[in-house]
Amino acid sequence: MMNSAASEHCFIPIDASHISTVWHWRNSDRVRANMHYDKLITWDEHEHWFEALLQNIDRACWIYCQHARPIGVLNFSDTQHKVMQWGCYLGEVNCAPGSGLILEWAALEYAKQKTNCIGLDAQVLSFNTAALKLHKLFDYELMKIESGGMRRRDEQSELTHFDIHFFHYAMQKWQQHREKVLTKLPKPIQRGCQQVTFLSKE
Amino acid sequence: MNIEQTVKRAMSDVAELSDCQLIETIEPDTLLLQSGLDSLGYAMLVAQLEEELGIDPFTELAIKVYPATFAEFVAIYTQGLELQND
Repeated sequence: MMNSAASEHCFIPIDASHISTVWHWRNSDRVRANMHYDKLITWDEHEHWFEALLQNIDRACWIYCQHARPIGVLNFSDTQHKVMQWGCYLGEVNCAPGSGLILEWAALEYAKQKTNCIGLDAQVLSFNTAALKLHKLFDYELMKIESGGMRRRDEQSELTHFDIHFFHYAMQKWQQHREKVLTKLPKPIQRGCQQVTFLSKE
Repeated sequence: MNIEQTVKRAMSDVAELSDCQLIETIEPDTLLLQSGLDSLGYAMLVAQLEEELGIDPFTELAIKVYPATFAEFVAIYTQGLELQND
């Protein structure tokens, strides 16, 4: 999985050159809608957050590139702990079909192959049905559901209640299930998963 | 049935299978991400079209920039089928 050759589905470490792109992605309606913090982010706020991200050894943030074009983010936190947290989003609208599935695969493969963690945790807001379906397909364990509060999905809609779903994946289970999960995926996605590459900084 | 109709029908089939709600009318400039199909549905659509049409143009044409709209998506399949028939 890890080599220096570019592939269709390639992950590169985030660096200072991505600051503007990531700011635009974080502020897009589509990305904000599924985040814990859904307000617009000023440049100053983003700059502080970005600097802290780059300095934080407990985080690992990757830019997802398709044919060398940055299209999204795969983010890990608590990387110095036994159980890591992860999240992701697609910043661009014209991505390869099923890119969300590739991100799901890449997160688990990264955790298994590049870290010593024993498990991966994820949180999904209850209205993000696309992510809930992906976690179910990959066989994540639903640990608990907590109230997330109230949110307006868009300017026209009313405030509605939402929950936060907490998921866990034990790495030992992923080791045993990854081939089975791969065969459940549509064939074009299987091919894409096999091309996932994480490039090192060098 | 032309390619556009085939794709629309496949989208409808996949939406039902993957528990997605397609928007009422899909226009040429409809953004795929706003069509109602999610990532899983979109992946299933490409797999179903590969079964029906015998091509996966995203792999075979080595697409570098992926389609954003329905018309761009259909155009890629049209191009793929033309190449297959040459």
